[in-house]
Amino acid sequence: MKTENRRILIIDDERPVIMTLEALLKRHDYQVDTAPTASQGLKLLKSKSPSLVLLDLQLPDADGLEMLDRIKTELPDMQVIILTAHDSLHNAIESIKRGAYHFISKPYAPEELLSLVEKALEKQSLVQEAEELREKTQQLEKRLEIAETRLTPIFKSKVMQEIEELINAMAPSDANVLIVGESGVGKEVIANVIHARSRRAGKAMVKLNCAAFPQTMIEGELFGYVKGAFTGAMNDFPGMIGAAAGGTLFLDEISDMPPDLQTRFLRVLQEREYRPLGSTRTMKADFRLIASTNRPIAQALSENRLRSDLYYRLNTFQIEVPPLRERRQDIPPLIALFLKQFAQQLGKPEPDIAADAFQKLLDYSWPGNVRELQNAIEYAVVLTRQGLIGAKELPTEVQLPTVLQQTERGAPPRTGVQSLDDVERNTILQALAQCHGNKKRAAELLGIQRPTLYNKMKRYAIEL
Amino acid sequence: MATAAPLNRTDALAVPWTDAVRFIRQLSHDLRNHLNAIELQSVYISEFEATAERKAEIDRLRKMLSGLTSALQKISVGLAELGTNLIAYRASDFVEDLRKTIAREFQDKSGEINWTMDTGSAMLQIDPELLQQAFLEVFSNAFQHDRGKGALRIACKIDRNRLVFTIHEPKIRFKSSTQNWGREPLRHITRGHYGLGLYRVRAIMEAHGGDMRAQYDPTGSELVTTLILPLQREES
Repeated sequence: MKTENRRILIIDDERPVIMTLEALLKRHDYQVDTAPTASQGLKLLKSKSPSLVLLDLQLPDADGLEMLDRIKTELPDMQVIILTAHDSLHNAIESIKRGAYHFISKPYAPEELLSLVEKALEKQSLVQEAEELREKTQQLEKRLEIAETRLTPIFKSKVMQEIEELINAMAPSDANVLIVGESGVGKEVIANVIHARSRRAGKAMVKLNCAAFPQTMIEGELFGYVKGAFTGAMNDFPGMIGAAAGGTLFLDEISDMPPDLQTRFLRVLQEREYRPLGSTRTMKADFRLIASTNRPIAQALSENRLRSDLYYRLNTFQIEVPPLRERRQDIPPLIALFLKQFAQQLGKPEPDIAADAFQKLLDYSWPGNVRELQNAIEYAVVLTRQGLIGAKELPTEVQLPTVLQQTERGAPPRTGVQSLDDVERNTILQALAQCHGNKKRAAELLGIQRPTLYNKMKRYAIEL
Repeated sequence: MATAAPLNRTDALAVPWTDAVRFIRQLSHDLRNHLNAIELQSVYISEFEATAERKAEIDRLRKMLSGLTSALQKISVGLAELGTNLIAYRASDFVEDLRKTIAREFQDKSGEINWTMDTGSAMLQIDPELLQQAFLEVFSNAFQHDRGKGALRIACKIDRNRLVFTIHEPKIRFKSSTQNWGREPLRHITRGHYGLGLYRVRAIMEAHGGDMRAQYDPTGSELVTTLILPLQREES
């Protein structure tokens, strides 16, 4: 086996040795650098990145074994062959113990040296290959872990169990699916599960967030284009429909797709053909469509954000993912999942959650749904120091008493005239929320005495 | 049909020199391997041993083994096949390297050498490492055998496209013939001395297209050894 990187550094202070070795190795197609001192050797080691070092144990400016230590400290995978005039195993044993690949006594036989050099380079090549494979494996494991996490929605609550049953029933088909639900409920996670359990699981799942692209770009992203189709189209681009061939196309926030594009896309769904921008060729479209929207369907249709004909085409199966506050049974397993995930990501042991903190997580309304819960757990895992997440490690809004939570986020303005009592109650709630439940500061903010605040809280049944 | 010649047990060992060399090389190699293994084993045992006294004994044993290995290494080197790796090398650099190595290898004796150098910018075509081994062997002999009083005198000059390196060694006595100098391996064998050194020196010199001559001058009681190397041919 001939190795690819054939650069060798010789560190030896004896000119005859250096020159003979250099000539011998160059004659056998190795690239050779030479250094007569340890300090020069270290410089060349950094600048030339050799694969192998031939190191003399007697150097003018350093002890060879110490030099070996330095090389192995700075470059642990570097192969080093020790050259020495000392015909004793003492140095050999010591140098092997310190990580040298091998040891050769001067005068060496050229064949013996060449054979050793080739073996050392082979080893170096294998070490590098193993390192690359290890890195790739780690990356793959990480990706798999992330993918598994993504692919693991929690189906604990009854409503989620029903959704899972529906997924299991329809995933193997090629039927279009529309997933609706508030932002952060996990629509993409559900889409991932459908793809993973479909017959197209072995092919790509291509995702396009229609809200993330300017309207002028989304057409090119979806249908692809040929070079020169428009200014800036420097190369052919296959587009998401092309990239999803054989797999699944997930269109997130489909109601944000421009109406004229919705019409064009509807034709793709009907005819199973499309044409990239600037191209005269018609291409076959072979994808399973999953779309999602966070807008209530009725509203999207009435506002003409979603074309009704496209909606009916999409809506073969509709999955409505309920907000987290309506399926609190899913909160504990989601907490457990995110704790594990973030502890691993941050390299920390998985922390416990104190009872009061856990209760706050259960009580909170989670307007941002699973995504907000995920962020809250990440926040807590980052902050926790003693392996226990207390209430103080939770985000401020989660720490607030339930009654103040909606106020803190800014309750939607009520239409029409409110009664004075309602106005007063809401003002008190806002002050308390702003002061994170601190009554003394809330009273100061409201410009009233603390006992007055207590009385009013009692009157309006505000309990913290 | 020819009949087999009767086996002559005395003649059975009269093998050709090349076969004997191959045999010794292999034997030396195998023995060194065994000794290395034993030495490694002693290191292994030493790692277990906590008593300083026993550790010291194991260390002594290791040194004995190491001495044996060195002796075998010497034989292996003496009988090794010659593979020259010739490169262009300045004659003055070669001599300078040699002086440095002698100063290092013969620290207590290197002061007893008078050097006269005149090599100019002449270039050699040599294997500097191998050739240095040959020169060191000559110096080693000069320092070891029947050394007389006075310094070694070295003269190094260029003469008719050759590097002529002469060593004048004062001798207490000298009984050997110099006629076949370095052509008779194993002629002088004593304890720790196997009669291979000069034979290898000559082989190395000849592998470089050079020569080695020696002559004893009884009036001055000195052995004059001359090592001759051709200069690198100029490119036409």
